[in-house]
Amino acid sequence: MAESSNTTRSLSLLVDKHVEYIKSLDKRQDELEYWMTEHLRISGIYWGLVALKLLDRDSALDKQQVIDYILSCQNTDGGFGGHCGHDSHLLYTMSAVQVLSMYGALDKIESSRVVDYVISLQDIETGEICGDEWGERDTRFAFIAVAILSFFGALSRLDSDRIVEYVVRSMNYDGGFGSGPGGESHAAQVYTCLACLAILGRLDVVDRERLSAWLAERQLPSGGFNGRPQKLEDVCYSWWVLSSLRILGRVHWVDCSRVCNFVLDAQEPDSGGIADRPGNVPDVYHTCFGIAGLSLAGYEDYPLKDVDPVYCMPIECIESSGLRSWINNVPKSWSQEKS
Amino acid sequence: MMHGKRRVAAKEPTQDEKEEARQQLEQYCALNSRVMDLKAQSVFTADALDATRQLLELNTELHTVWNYRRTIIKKLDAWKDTERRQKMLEQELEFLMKVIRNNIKSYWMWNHRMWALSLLPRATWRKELSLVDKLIGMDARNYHAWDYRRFVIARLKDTEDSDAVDEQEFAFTTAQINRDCANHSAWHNRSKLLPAILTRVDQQRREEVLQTENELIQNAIYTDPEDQNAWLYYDWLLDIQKSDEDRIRLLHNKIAAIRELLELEEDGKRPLVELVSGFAELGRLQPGSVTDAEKEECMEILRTLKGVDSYHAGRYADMSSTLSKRWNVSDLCV
Amino acid sequence: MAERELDGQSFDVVVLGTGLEEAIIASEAAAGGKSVLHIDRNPYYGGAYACFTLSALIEWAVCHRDYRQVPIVEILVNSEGEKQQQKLTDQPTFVIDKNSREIAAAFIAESPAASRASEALHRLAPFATNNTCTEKTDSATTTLLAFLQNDRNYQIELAPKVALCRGRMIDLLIDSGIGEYVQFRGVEHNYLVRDNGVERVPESKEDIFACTTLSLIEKRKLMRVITSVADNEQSRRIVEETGNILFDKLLREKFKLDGKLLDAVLRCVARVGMNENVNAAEGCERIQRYVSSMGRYGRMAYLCGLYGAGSEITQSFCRMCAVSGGTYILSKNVSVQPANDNGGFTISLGSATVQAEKVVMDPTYASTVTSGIVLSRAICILDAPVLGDDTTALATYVDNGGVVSLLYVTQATMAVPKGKSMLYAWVEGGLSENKNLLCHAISATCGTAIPLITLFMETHLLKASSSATADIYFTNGPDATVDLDNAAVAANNIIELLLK
Repeated sequence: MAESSNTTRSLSLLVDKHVEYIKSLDKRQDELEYWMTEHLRISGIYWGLVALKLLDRDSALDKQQVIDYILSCQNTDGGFGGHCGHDSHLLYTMSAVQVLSMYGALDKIESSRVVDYVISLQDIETGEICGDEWGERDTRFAFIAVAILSFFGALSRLDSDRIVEYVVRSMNYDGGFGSGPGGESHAAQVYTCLACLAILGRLDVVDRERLSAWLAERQLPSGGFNGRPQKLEDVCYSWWVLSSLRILGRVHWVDCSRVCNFVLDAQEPDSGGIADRPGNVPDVYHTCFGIAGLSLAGYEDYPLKDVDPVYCMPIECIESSGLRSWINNVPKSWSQEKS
Repeated sequence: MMHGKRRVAAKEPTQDEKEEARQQLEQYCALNSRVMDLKAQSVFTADALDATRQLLELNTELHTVWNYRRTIIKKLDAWKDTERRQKMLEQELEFLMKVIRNNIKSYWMWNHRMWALSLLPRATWRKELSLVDKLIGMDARNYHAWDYRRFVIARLKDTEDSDAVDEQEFAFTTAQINRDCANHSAWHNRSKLLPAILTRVDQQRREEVLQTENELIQNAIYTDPEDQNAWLYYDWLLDIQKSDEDRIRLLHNKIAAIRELLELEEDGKRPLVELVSGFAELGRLQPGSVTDAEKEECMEILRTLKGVDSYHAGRYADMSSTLSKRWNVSDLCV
Repeated sequence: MAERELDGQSFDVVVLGTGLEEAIIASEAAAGGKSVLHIDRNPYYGGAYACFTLSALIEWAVCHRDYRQVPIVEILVNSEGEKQQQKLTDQPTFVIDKNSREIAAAFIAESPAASRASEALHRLAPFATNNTCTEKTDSATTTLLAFLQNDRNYQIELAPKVALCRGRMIDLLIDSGIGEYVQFRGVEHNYLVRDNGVERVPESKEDIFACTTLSLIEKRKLMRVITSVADNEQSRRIVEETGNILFDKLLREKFKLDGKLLDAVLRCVARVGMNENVNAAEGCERIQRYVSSMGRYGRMAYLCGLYGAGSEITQSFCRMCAVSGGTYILSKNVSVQPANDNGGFTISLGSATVQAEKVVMDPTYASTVTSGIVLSRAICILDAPVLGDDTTALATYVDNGGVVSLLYVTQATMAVPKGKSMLYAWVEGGLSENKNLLCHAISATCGTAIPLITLFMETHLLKASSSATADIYFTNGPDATVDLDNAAVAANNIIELLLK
């Protein structure tokens, strides 16, 4: 086994720089990138807010301004677009609900409209969930639908047995999950499927041993994780893989100190932010999942808030929303690891 | 999201570069506003369609604009006439070929292609398959290309002999595996095709197919015993056997193969793990069939692995603890 | 350039012989700003790397101009033409040796250039061996004469070699810009040949996986070699642990190779000769060079030059030298004397005398020489392609107690006409001891194809016996290796000294 990364070196988390980086994101209107990513601004806010919350620095954003902006993205169909004037999609509806929830502002929206929107996207024939009215199906959307409904206590309105069947059909010989039945296993899809099953209390359908072994092998000598065999490591998989392992109670199957080093190495040392891998340009998506990964890996040199592996939000937010109960539905034989 | 974009030393841009960047930004914003305005005003004309084309060529990620584009196409006069619709959608596919070069990983773009093909009056799925062949030829592990391939195959099966298409796909995975036996995407697709093939052959043919499969996976294991995927596939072949008797036979083969591999390199990490899990499985299927010496060997192996493969020390400790309880032997990992 | 114009001139460097090494040196010296005079005693470029038609080759053998390096050449002819295969040992053989050469040479001196080879053959016929019946010899003569009428499509190299993709010669070709003027194609496969058949050597993970003639455990053994010996870091550790034993021993003991696997790795990939002692470090390095060469230009490790690589590259360097101001004189005998106590040399060529500061020469131009490496070569023209669809391939024959290197070419290398193929085989040592081995190697490789005409040659690489004088540099000439790298290395060493 290659010992290429130096375990003794201790890079520190550049907290102030990351806070400044996230704050600066809304002030980059002279950059083309700012406008090119307009369509997912609402997700950008979610990623930024999660990062700040985990750093316990969420005062860096103007809460009221954010809430007003989020509300402006809701469409008449009840769903949210990635930005005002953009079409609704489950991806952005999820980000909107997560941000509002973290601000304790879910009561600002009419929950039935959001719930109806989500329910309208379930294919009655197959139980599958569509991303929007155009019908793209993906296990990611099954998770999102389930997660959104859980925020509103409306899970019973969904045919959850059909969803579980659908997720099971998306399972592969390596124990992992793909984007749908037939799809190849991918660490990010594994996370969405596990999180979906966790909320529905149906983790019993998972082949825990095989999947844990597959996930553990995603760690490369650099300490970082890849999403599929023979692929490059990427900071965002620090989240997808570790959250999955956490749900499975198997985070200790990988070397957490090396994951931390890999993430810290990918920090942009001057202007802040975390990139997909060391030496690359940072973005808010990797900044969020890098910090969330550090939290799951038990990074010790800064008091990061604990993150919930199912919702990718601080545990305290999930607890105050009463959603932490998924943990009670984990199969008894999985005896949760000490976290 | 920035994937794989290298950070370069900050260099103050020249006046010309600044000007160019400013113009580029202005043009993009102007075009974007124009399209969003047209959409807000529910304009469904050929001009509006062209505006979406220009914008999507610059940015493939605008799902709202893709949606708008589809809406326009369906509202144009040409849509009502089969021939004109055929032509219009063919042009749409050509346009997508241009866009695919900008960003092969765009989910929205692939969705749009599926939409266009699904509504094409005379869809050419074979032609589409050869496009996917080309994409996989360029990048044998492309996630989108394989997902899209399965979509195309599903449609092809609606119009052609379904079993024959499955056989062809199975042969395609064999070819991909022969080119690179670590092509996980190909092994994966194979695992989705094999069960269907097995269900429609007689017992003798079934055994032949499984035997060939067993040889192929053994070949992969011997070529690269450190590739986890090959072992996972092997275990899956155990799963799909009809009887425990067959499973036990295969497990004995697996253990014999590992013994042979270990004779050559005694410190092969993966064969060692697989030896332990092989015995664990054998013991589960056939209680009493694992000897005390073999049990102790397993515990010793786990202790060694915990030392040499520190990344996964936790996994070996867990395996050791479970087996020591099940077999009533001492756990050497504590 | 006329002798008259040269008389009295001075040059920084005079290079004698236009073999590959000399050509590289002349070109690089001229490019480095030196004034260069490049002379060859022969009327053609290339020296020991020259490339000939069969007629020209016969003429070369008969009228060889370097009296100290006279080759023994035997020409075997399948007297049945393309109708039926005759065993090589049964074929009528025309021998060009000391006796026959003198007689033939005397006759052809007077003949017009176009008919010299056929004239020579008529004179050689009475010396043909295996002529149990004159009929057979007559028929062989007829076959050969007919062949010579139309032999322009055959380009036969005296020293056939290939270029390692990540080797010194390719680097040199790229750096000098010569690469643009020389055409190559990939050597498609590497074969292990034994009396009982020909097997392709699996060179990559894909090859090993797809190979149907190896057992599973053999695959694993080969993969171990590919992954650990071919890895710089790992092999260094292995060599350290095992104490740099012989490579052969390392492969047997550490990698548990034997039989055809051992032959494939040791003889076909590392190219260790029969009596060559290669230690583990050197062996690992050879494997690494091979493996790292794969993938640079396609999946193959070697490139084969079109129209005869050595000779084409040589001529390109000479052209480059001329472009940089170098002066060329062919067909001229020369002698070299030290000029005076202050160094420098006086070079006499016919009626002219020039001065040189430094002299580089192929050892056949040296005043006193000793015999160096002796090589036995065979060149076999076959009636059909062999080795499947390959257009060019390398092979190693390992059997009968010997190891023979083989290079196979077809029309795609522009050295053989359509429908035919050519096989080169060579081994270190004299022809009398090795002819049988070469016959075995050819027969085993060509299978059912008919060897129409087969030439056997024994060549001697001379070594200058002393180089007491400073500023004289001797090149090496083509050795037994299959690639051109030793020539590039030797040339580079001399260039460094010249340009110092």
